[in-house]
Amino acid sequence: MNKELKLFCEDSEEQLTFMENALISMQEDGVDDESIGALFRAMHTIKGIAGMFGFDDVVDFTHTAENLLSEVRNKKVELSDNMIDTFLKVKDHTQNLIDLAVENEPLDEDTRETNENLLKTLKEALPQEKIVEVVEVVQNNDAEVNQTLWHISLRLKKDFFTSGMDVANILSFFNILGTLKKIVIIDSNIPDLSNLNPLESYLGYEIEFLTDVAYSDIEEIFEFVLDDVNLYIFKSSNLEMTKTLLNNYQNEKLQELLVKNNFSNVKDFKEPIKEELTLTNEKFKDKKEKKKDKSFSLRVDSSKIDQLINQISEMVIENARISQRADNLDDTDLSESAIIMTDMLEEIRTGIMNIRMVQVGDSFNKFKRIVHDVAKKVEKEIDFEIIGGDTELDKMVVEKISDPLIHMLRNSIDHGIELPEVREQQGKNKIGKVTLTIYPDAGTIVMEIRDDGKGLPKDKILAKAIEKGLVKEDANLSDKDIYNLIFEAGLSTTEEVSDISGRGVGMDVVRRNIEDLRGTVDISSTEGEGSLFVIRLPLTLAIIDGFLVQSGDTKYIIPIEMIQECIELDARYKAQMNGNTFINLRDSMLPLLDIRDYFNESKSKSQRENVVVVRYGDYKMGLIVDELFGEFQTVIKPLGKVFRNVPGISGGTILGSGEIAVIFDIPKLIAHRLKDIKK
Amino acid sequence: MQIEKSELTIYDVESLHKQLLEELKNDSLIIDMKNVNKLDATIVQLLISTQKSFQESSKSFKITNINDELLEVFKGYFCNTLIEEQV
Repeated sequence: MNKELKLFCEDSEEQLTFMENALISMQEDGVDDESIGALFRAMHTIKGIAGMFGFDDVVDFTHTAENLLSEVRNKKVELSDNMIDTFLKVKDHTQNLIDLAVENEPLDEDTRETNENLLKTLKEALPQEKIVEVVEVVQNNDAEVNQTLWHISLRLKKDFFTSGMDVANILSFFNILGTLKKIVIIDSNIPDLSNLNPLESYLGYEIEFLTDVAYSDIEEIFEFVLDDVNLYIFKSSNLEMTKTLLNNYQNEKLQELLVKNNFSNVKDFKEPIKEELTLTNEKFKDKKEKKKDKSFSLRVDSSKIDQLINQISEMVIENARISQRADNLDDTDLSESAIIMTDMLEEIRTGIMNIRMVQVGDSFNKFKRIVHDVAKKVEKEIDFEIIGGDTELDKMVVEKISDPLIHMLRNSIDHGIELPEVREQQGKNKIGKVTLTIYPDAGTIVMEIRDDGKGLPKDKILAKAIEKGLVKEDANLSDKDIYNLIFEAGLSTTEEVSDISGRGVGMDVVRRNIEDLRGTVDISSTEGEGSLFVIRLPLTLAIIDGFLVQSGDTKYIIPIEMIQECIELDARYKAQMNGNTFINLRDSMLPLLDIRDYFNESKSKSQRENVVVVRYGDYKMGLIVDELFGEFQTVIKPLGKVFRNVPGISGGTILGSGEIAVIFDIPKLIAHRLKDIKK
Repeated sequence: MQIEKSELTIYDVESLHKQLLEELKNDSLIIDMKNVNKLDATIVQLLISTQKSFQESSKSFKITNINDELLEVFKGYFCNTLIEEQV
């Protein structure tokens, strides 16, 4: 895909997202001018760029939508709920059309049908006289009689070259949009060699351009360089503008040059003025001010950031070696440098991590649309709310968690929330409430999906699981265990299979996806009152702040956010334990896990034993280790296949000394300990 | 004067400018573009300026061996006077 095309795809995707968000917000909070403006701009922009590439289907379709939106904007047509639905479809269909056009594929039958239906709906919504006009425009386009001769005058400003745009690329767009009738390079401003600053630009062009596209489409050619050029675009027949132009560029002897090159506007000098000024200074200023309002953002290939993170990771390891070496040499200067270096690396790392952090709301707002569609399909009324949309999370995690979340939301609506009549009978509000809450908690991000539907049918799930042979009939399962069965493959309790959910595939995939992100998922539910799904995800994927401990001969790393405190396992506690694996920590029971036993470590060499208290979600546990070394920034390196099935280990890392340390997977360790206790 | 690089861009324009200023001391200049396939607007501008400087002092200036690829590039900038010299 060439550069312009890629840019087009990204732009249009962005515009369509704006459009969708605007539609959803109007659906919730009523129609407002700003949102209508966003719709109009989306269609208008896409039409403009699509025109440059000659994507006729896209242009025709967006043109009609734009027409209608223009009427909406002028308050001639009211934007009803139905119409919002239509425009949601318009958005989807536009994306389809663009995808097909970019792939250079013809419209398939479905798309063509949708195209015709939507065009019909849009045209019907237009006020009567407008329809006639649309038809006319289309006819004119077909006959190509509607072409206008434009005069374009372009002067590159001094620092144009710093914009990074190539003027030849810009000029090449003219041939895509229409016919370049005449073009003359203005080189009279270029000084001789001794006065030339080769990094400043002195070039200009005078252009005569025949096309059927609108003024704004021509202006869009220069969209990215508007601040770096002096630009006039006007109809060649516009005598006033021609005069102004010639006046402005008197020093270039522009008139002579244009006459010499047979430009039609200087030939037509005697003809009366037919057209209004198309470009006024005010309009130009307007456009510029609008541009400045946009916050500046960059689109960067995420692989570049990944690469940076990898490099920083290596630096972190290497720096740990330097610190170690400095300690061994007892070199205080070197030691100090290493510490400063550590701080700086930490800052850089946080900075890079921040680049990847996005507000989840930006991405999750699309769920509103999905909820809306699903609810409509299953004829339920849903009030969907996202709380904590401004929580920041790694972009990659956000993307990977989206699909599982969508699946769970669909489930909640399809299975959880009852039909409106049923809800009313039960004395509930007939509108079902589904909330997605996102908040950070102890080094993790928690996402909760809560619904006030009928809750999970415990007995049904258990019966089904027994029927499918997933559990034994006499198994003694807790409520949680039973709920967790829904994550097993092949379990669906819905008798009727809808096309939204209930095929029994999915929930197992949901759990796998979450576990791939080193996260966990928990369910609680009360029959008749609703269900709550809690997903917990780690904040970052690559580097963690760890706490280095030793047990036997091996060094271990515990993610520091999960550590609550460290205590010494002294004689008093040992007496309490009395052969058990619990201690009384400030009047609450703390289960312990002896790392030495668990990983079959050799006998401890140290006299002291320590307990590191970790917390994950609602659970606390103490890990018995020999020695505590302290905080340690570390890079998670995946361990080989051999270790894949060792529970309680999430990866390894290389210490400054070259030793390997093992990183604990605290959630797994806690789960293991809980199972033990139950036994 | 033969150009060795196949692509001339804004990164080369300053050193090329210096070289050309030196060449201005001679009576004539022929730039051999045999190896050049691409150039950008800064170079086009520099060449036009060179052409002007030589013409002002009635010295001869020529660009030779423009290959087809490069010719298309020149055409993209519509710098006819530079190419006319060639023909």
